[in-house]
Amino acid sequence: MAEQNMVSMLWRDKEARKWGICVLLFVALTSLVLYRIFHTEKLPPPGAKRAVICQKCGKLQVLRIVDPETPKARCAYCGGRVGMAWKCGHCGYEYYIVNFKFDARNLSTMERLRKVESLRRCPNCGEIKDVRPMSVNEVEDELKRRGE
Amino acid sequence: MEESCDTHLEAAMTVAFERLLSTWGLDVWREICYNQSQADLVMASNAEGRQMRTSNVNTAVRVGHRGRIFTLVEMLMVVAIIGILMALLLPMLREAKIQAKFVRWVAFNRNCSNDPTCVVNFNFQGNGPAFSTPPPGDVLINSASGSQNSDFKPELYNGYLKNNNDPSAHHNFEWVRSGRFGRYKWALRFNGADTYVVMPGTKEINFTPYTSFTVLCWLKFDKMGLGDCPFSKSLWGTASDASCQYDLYAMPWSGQFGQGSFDVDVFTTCGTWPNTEVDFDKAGWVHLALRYKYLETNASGDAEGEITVFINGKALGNYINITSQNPYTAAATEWKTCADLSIPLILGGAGCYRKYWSASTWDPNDTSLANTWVIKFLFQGLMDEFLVYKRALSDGEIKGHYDMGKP
Repeated sequence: MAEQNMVSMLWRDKEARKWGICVLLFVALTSLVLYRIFHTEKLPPPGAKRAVICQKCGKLQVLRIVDPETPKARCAYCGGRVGMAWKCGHCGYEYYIVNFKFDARNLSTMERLRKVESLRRCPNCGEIKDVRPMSVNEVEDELKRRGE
Repeated sequence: MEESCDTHLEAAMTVAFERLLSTWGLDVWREICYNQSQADLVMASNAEGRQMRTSNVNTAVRVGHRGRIFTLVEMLMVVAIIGILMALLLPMLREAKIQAKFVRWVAFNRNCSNDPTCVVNFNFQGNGPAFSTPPPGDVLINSASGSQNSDFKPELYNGYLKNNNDPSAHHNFEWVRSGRFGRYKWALRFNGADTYVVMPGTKEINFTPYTSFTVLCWLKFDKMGLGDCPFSKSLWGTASDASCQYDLYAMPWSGQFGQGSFDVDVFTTCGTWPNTEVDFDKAGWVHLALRYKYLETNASGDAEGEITVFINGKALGNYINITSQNPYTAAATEWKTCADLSIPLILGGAGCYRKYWSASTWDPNDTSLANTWVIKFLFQGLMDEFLVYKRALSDGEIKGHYDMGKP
């Protein structure tokens, strides 16, 4: 009864009512802001598992890569920069490529695509056409075979 | 001596607290009574003449000028209770909202499947409980069932997950929760190295310049690399020898022509948009739609159509026709439309003529598809939903697809 009286008294009191509403609004808004901060929509982590070769130690490995042109991931063995692992179908050479950007102005679409292809050239035999990015499963199989 | 120190300390705290409240302009709280000598505080109620005894509380608030007590402890408890309730309720409300959106999307997607002109509908969901598991095995199930043709078999247009380097080996796709509808929606991660999806059936998705069509998909690019192709029903060759029905590929590097974020090929036209107003690398999920609308047959008997690309339900303006406006690709007008070419539709890569793009592996005496084409320019990122309609959807319908599917 006393509590009821207190609530009714509070409600009748203009000042108390004003400040009570303000406090409740403040709590609600703060909760909403905190909720928005801590409960943002969770997107899956960017990047795909790719076969890479360390530019420093040459180790073949599988890492999650977001940008294949300039990968930020570091070698798991030595911490060096890595490049996308490619394999030449002609000579079987495994190599890496990075930073294959170029000035594409005044090039036709087809020329641009050809240029991209040429930048993936095998450094061992110069082959352009028969080269391909290495598969994750073939690298994992290779690492298992080596016992790494 | 100790008692005196405590008394002074408490008095100083009271003054400091009052000054603080005064600074904040909270006049109503200025009547804080801080009883230093007694454990109990008794205050009279002016309104009803009652007395209220508050035990073991030495901090109280006299509200207004009527003398009622509302302790800080009580206030804090109310605040705490409200906070706890909101902490419990808000996640539940959020989950309910996501689930409702997902259920709405499921109903919409089923409706799309029943459209008589919808021939491909990959919703990237399985048939598990609540429609919320990834598809089983290595197949994307085509749920479109309402084709106008009586002999339409949707299973012919299922998507098969492939490994480009070794078709017999295990593919390297990843199924991930897309984040579009919380934990309910699944998406397929293409790795940009060897993953692509192929549809063996071609009859229902072979289009000519005399037939309208619309392709819609949800994509999330990891990084747009030049040429990365989310979908293609083409055979890229040279500027003078290429066969094309429809495809869309990234063209992100600046240049005099084709400086937009991507190009589209539709029959013999290659179009690009200089400004898409979307940074694909940062935009998260993006809804892309390619629409070809057959308009009329001109005096020379050729079909005239309209190509439009929609990003997030919004039509982009006029495109730059690279085949006719770019002086560096004048010869591209020799492209064939490849309407009769039975090349499959590919998701996550571009079909290319093997004789041009991997000549050392090409056998001129072999006419099989495997020898004719090679998959290049693989897409890295997530894909979720892929639909093909045998008609030009209206702007409103495409906007509706976006609205129903947006996260």
